[in-house]
Amino acid sequence: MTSLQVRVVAATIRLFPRSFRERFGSEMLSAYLDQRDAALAATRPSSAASWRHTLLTVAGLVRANLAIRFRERRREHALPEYRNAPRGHPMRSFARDARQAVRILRKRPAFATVAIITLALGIGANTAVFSVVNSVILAPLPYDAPAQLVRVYTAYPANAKQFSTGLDLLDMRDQVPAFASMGIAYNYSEVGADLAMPDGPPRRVRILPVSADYFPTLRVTPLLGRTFERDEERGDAQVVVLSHELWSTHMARDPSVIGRSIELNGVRYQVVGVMRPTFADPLGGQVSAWVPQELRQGKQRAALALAPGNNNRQNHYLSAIARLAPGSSVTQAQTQVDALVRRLTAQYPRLYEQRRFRIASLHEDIVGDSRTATYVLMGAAVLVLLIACLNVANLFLVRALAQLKETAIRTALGAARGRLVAQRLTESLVVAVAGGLVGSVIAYLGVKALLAVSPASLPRSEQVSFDVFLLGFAVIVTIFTGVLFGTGPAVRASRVNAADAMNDSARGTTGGRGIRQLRSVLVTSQIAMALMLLVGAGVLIRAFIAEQRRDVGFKPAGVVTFEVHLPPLTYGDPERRVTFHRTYLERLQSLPGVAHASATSWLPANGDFHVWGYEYVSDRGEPKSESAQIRVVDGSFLSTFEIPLLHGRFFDATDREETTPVAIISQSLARKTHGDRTAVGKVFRTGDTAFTVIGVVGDVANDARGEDEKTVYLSHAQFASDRNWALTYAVKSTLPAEETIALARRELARFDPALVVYQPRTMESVLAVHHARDRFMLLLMATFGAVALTLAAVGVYGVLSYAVTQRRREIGVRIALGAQLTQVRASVLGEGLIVAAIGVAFGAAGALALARVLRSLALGVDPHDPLVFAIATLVLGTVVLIAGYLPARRATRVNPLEVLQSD
Amino acid sequence: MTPRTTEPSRFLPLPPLDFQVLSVLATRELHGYAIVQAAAEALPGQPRLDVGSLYRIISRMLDERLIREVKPPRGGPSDNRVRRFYTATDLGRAVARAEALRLQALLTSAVTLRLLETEG
Repeated sequence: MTSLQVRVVAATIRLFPRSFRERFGSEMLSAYLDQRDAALAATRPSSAASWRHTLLTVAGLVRANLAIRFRERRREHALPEYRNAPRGHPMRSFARDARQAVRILRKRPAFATVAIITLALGIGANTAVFSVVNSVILAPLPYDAPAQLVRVYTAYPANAKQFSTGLDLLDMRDQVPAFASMGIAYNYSEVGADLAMPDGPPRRVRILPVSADYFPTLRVTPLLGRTFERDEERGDAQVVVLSHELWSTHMARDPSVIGRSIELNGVRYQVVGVMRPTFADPLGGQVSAWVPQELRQGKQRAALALAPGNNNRQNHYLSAIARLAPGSSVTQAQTQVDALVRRLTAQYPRLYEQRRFRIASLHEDIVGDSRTATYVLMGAAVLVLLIACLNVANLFLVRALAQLKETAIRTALGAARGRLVAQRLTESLVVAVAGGLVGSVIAYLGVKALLAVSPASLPRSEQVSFDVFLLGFAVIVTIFTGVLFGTGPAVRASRVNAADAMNDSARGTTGGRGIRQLRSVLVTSQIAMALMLLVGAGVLIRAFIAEQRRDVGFKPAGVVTFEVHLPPLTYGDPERRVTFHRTYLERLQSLPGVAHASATSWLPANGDFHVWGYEYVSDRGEPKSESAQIRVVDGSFLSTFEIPLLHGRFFDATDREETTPVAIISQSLARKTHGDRTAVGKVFRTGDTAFTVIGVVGDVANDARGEDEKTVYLSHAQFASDRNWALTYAVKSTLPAEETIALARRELARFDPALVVYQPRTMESVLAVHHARDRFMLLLMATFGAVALTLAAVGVYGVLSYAVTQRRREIGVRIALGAQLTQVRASVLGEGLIVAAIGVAFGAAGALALARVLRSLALGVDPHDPLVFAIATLVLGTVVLIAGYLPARRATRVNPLEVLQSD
Repeated sequence: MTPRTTEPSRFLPLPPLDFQVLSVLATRELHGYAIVQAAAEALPGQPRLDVGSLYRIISRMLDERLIREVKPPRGGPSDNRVRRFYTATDLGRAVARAEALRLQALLTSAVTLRLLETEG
């Protein structure tokens, strides 16, 4: 490993002009080694860090090398005596070669343009995608010693990533030696608070309640002040740590803020710290402030606490991150928590029968979901780069062949072989550098575009940046290709006997059968890869269309949603909350354009929320248990979303706190428990309450991609005393969304000026958020497909057009002898189609091999979809046909007389 | 190569990296990596020297007679790495000083001071 890095640096040093290298080469290597020793002693010797250092050094060396060569070239112009340097002075010939290369390339703009665009597309697409991949998936988390950080889950057979109970986490915090420390946070549901503003209405901010060890576990320190103490782990501690963002916008970065108070939900919190701008919360995302999480045992009735605190062995509601003690591994930690579970099972057999704890690397945990998608994109990007390389190779082969005669003549006239090869090499380098420059512009724009399309759905997207190392990598790969294929033939050509070359070219053969075959192989592989990309893109497009058409079980059109949070200080009384929601709903209902107004604790198709146990007695009289999504609703919920009422009735004004608790269940839950019709009138228990089923309604999707879920609807009027439900309003209106929101806001201000219309969105945009990542994938794959298609077309065009040039005389003779133009065309085109057909065959095989990967991405769509294969082949075939037709048509324009006379 | 002039002002303004190298060599005799280290310590927050740039600059400054090679001091580390030591010539010191004066004049000018005031 180390010696490889040293060799890379040494190789880079060897690229310096000889005079410079002899003077400073070994010294530079020593300085690199000194610096590496020092750098690695300071941090910890990880191979990533030392590679980074090595690549930085290499980049610096290459830059210096170019600068030195550039300077010397300038000097060569400035100082006449320098021209008297001995013949073949490396500097002099390099400068001359470069100038000549530019001249030659400018004389053939088509070649240069195609080569540069090809390279630029390949390099640009790759660097952009790999920059994202690198920052999202491969780069370590932005915390000190990130490999030591783990996520702690409670696992059940049905749900491997369940939240944990307070007492379990406290046990783990104290009794697991493999944990150096553990941070606990409440992110079960989003905690928000109304922050009082000195002027104007309050601002809704996002709060994350955390334990005292949360920040120390991540090894982050505040910019100002302190974080929390153990004795502050109480819901009523009333201390707060601000995010840098909140401190900047709300406190104008006042350094004397520590000790002052802010008002959250009408309660004063003392500011004890401000976090650094670089801190990104791993659990909470965009958090505005942190408050202490309640960790005392039992249900704390601190009405003013921002998050509920109910710590026993049943209430699963907390998340935890732990830092492994030095020398401990995930496996050791897992063994120790397993032992803890066994102790707890012995003590509470009923509770812990199925409960386990699971330790997972935090990095894995965060990026896990995007992994497959990102690897598919990486694969696609690599394919595009390969196609680009093949194209460049092809282009250079053509050039080398075209220059065969010239090379032979120059060799015959006594030109040194090394010089001729160097000349070709320089040409390749000039093209590659130009391609790299354009490519980096594309890459830069590409990263920006990628982030613009998909910031929300990508984990860690705030850390994505344009990666210069990756750009370097792509440039090096393409330069290598250009050099290999550009110089190889040149070396061969320089060995060719001049007389043979002259005769050969005079006879008009296509200059080396081997090379021509090689070129056909290159184009075939290009077509194969392009087909694979097209099929991949096609499968994703089909999956996406299917997903858009999926019946979510309700109609989002025309529905506007927003949240209203009732501060506990003024709305502590459940009666008051019921009255508020009832009255506000009535006012909304009476607004112009509003057809239905309702409120729910969680919007449909928005993911899991409040998955509670559903205990019932089966028709056979056995006690059974299911789990279901609990939703608390108010107003005309069914009509707003057009969810059908199948049996029984919906809630009405007779369902009050003092009447029998009633519930409405979804069809799938009814079927699972008692059967559609017969479920009405049955009783089940959830939480501590028995509910009677009064109605059965249609299923709705649990998330925009997923399956229908068993759902229980409870009436807010009956269930308001359970907690201060943060209800999301949903209003179906014929007016535009903005007008509805404005009216809702006006009504709310009339009602209580301290309340906020929070996160106003249309229901369609709520769903679109869940589609965003799929759309993003799709866009990228489609882009790659299009690039691949273009490059494949360029390849086919190049090969055929060159073949036509070489066969001009043959074609001329055939035309002179009376061949039909269509025959001539067909013979040229036929050559292209054979190449294309072989490519398609290999491509289809490759695409089938890829199907397994695609299956995991394209939910519910068969990756072997014959329609997709047919369309992809058709598109590719058409493009190849067009690319081949142009040279074929040119072939028929050959003037027989001209061709025959030209010999 | 003969230097075209010995007038320090001819070299001004110095590129930032050149200034780093020249200023740390003005008072000391240092080898390659030690220069990088000294520059990073003396001028934190400046663009960091890398090995490539360092020797590009050393090569040029030797040609321009701004620095010269000196004998390695005794008692240095005795491994087989090549470490040549450099220090500034009189001309080099004069150039570094001239650049420092230039920067000082720039920083204490009324225009700059106003800029710095508005920032706080």
